[in-house]
Amino acid sequence: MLSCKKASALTDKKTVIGLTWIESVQVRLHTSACAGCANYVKQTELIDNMLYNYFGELSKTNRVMLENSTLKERIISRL
Amino acid sequence: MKDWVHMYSDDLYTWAFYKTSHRETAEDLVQETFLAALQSLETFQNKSDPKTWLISILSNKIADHFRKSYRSILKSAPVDTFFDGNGTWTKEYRPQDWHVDDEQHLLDRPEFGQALAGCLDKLPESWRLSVVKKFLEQKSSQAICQELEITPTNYWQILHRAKMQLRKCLEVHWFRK
Repeated sequence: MLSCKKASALTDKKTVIGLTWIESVQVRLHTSACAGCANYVKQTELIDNMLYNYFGELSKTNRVMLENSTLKERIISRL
Repeated sequence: MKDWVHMYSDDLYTWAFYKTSHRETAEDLVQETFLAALQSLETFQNKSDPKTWLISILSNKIADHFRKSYRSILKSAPVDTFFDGNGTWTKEYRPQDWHVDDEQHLLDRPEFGQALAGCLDKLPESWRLSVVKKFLEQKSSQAICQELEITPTNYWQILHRAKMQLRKCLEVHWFRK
């Protein structure tokens, strides 16, 4: 049986580079018996969605040109 | 060079802010760019567009900044407060049920966006950048690993540790309130 530490780590490994067949069975076995890790699986997915959503919005607003006159002065004073 | 600062610093700053989503970091990188440009002015040939040249210096600075921050994470010893000696969640860190019934509604709430931004800002800078890199640019893991010169294993482990910190912060500051 996997530890919670290993099960939660594999849960995040899954979304980045994928799991082997054995690993995914091990994670499923563990989370079916562990409420904390079952919550972790749901929450890490939710966090991914939050972050895609958040940075998606951010990248839209950031296309607007930002002005920073303090920075301009700071750079000129150091040239 | 002064004229160039007037003409291009806002463009460069906008670009750097978009890439790092952090004001101070973006400002420092833009400043370094102009100082570097001044030092290597003789390599700049008037044939090319100054803005293109400056952007290319800035892009290198941004890439270096990301690489350095990943390297500093890899050097730091993992602090394991989440689990006990057997690898079981400690009482404090064991994920609680968040009772999210309507995910889209939650994501659409501006206050929730602010809570998330607050938690991102609480992450140590290198960890925050690892999250920004993945979710802002939405590149493949393989491309990111190549760019940052780290192994896929290092990469997912860093993201995992960053998300563990984020998760805990959100639980305390939003879900348990």
